[in-house]
Amino acid sequence: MDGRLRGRIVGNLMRTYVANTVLAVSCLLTPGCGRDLDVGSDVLWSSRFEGGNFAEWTSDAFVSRSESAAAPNTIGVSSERAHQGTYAAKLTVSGTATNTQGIGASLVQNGSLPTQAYYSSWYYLPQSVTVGYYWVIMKFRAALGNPPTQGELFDVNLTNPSAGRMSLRVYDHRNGGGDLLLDVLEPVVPVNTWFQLEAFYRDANDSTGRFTLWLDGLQIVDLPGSTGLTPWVAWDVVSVGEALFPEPAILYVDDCAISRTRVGTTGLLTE
Amino acid sequence: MARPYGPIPEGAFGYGLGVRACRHLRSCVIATTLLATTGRAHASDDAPKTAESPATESSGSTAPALVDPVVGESLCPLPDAIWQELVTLVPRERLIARLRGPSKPNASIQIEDLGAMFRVSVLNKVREYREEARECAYRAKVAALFAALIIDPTALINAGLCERPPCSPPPEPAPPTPIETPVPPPAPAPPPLPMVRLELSPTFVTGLGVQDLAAHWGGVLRVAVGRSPVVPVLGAAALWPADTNVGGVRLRQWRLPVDLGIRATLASSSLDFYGELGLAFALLSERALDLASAKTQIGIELGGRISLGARLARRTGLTPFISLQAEFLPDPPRVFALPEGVAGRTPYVWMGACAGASWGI
Repeated sequence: MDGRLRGRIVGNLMRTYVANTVLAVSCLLTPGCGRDLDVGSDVLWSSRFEGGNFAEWTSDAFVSRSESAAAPNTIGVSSERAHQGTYAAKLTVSGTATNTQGIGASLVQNGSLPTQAYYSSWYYLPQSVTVGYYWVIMKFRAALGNPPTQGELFDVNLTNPSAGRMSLRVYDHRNGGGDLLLDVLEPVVPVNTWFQLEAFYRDANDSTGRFTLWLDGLQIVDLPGSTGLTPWVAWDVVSVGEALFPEPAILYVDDCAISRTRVGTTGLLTE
Repeated sequence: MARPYGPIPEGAFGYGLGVRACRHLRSCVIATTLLATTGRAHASDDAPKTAESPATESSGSTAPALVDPVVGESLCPLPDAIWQELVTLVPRERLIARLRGPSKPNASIQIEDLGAMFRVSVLNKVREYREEARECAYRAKVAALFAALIIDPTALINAGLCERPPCSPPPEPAPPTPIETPVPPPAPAPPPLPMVRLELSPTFVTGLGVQDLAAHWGGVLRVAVGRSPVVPVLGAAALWPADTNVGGVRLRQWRLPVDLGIRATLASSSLDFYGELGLAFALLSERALDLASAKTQIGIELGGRISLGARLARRTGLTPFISLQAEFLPDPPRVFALPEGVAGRTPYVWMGACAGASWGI
């Protein structure tokens, strides 16, 4: 160990001690010091809509973000339902419109997302909906093709395998597209109850890529292997569907988060 | 304890009491015994009173004067020679009192020279001795001894039987000579117990009950004040940071513990054992290592502390010591991180050990 390295180590230790001493003194002067040690967070970004707006989606958390809806579809913040707090996003789509990407109600985060992260959001269906064609509520997009272009990768869809019963399917747009085989056959999506979808997505152009999805903490799909061809990733919380009945189809969304560790059904997004 | 040459006070008998003691007491007694056994005794209680001698009253004297206490037609020994010997054995006054006492008739010691023998008569006691060599001085001694034995044997015994010349006074007993026995020097007074005891040592502390045991190394300084077996003690430690894991949250941990308590010491010849009981207080710094956004937080630990230690039994100066300690925290700080929430608590128990130097001042 040369002298410079030794000096650097000693200097760091001294700085640590001085900083800790200053913190200790300031702590002692602070009421309630020392009961809970909030050591930080693995939540990279979250949206709880408690501001009554979409500011969390339109701020500079990531390079590009948006909230949009094309008439007759609407998107807004509502106090009619809330998972925690007072507000939630209310996404309303027309069941008869030809809703495609960008036309439905969308909350989008794309660009500069971490190459691997957990994506979580809570949903509320006020009633059972008959899905005539598709109803996408979560979407991952990545750079695909040759040359790579931003394209759709995975869609998480609501389905109704039987009257009054809601379930999920996961659609993979690659290789001509098709539903992924789920670990749980026709998982039940509750109606009139908040449910959580959480996904782990690792963007990699090799076998280290991974896509995993949990419904209320229950893993329903785990797909290893190549995902995107570039680090570009987009994550959408959307309500895009066709042939939905009754119309309009209403979906509440709350407590969205991108984090480095699983939020799970009991995780917190705020202190 | 009897003193073989104990001093005898001077009597009022008018002579230096050569009989105070006798260097030859033993030989004298042997001689007397020999005479008594070899002498041909003719003692007879009903012997004729031939020993009575004429006596004259000494007017004006409280005690009758003894004009011729020893009488007889003897040339060997002469009566005066016997008397001279006799007064060396029995005090004169006592002789007079015994021979001329108020209730007694005047009596004398009679001596008869029978040639190869001589006869002594004293107070109706008669004894003949054979002494063919006719050594008159010897005969006078023997006669005087016999007379003394009859007249006042106790005085004779007390005075001791001495040969002439009168026993020279025994040498004054030498003053007690201090015996030069090697007296061990008085044990030096033990140095007083130190008023202040400083202990400085490296220390190792680890927390129990967490996933990854944090091994904190550092130094500790303790101060005990007082000389009694139970004294107050104050300690503080400076520990290097260490990494640990609380509820899956990796943390860099740093502690500044301080404690205040009492120390009870049990001293022995070689080791002093002590125990400590007190309150423990610590500032606890936690910084997350792996979280996306990490913060350093300071917590406070408050609990009890117990410690056991031992040191070499030296009152002052430096001496080595070792000790073990445990701190028990009923309500340690909670570690909170998003999105997990409360990940867990910092250790409920801290265990430590140290070995270093103790300095008594």
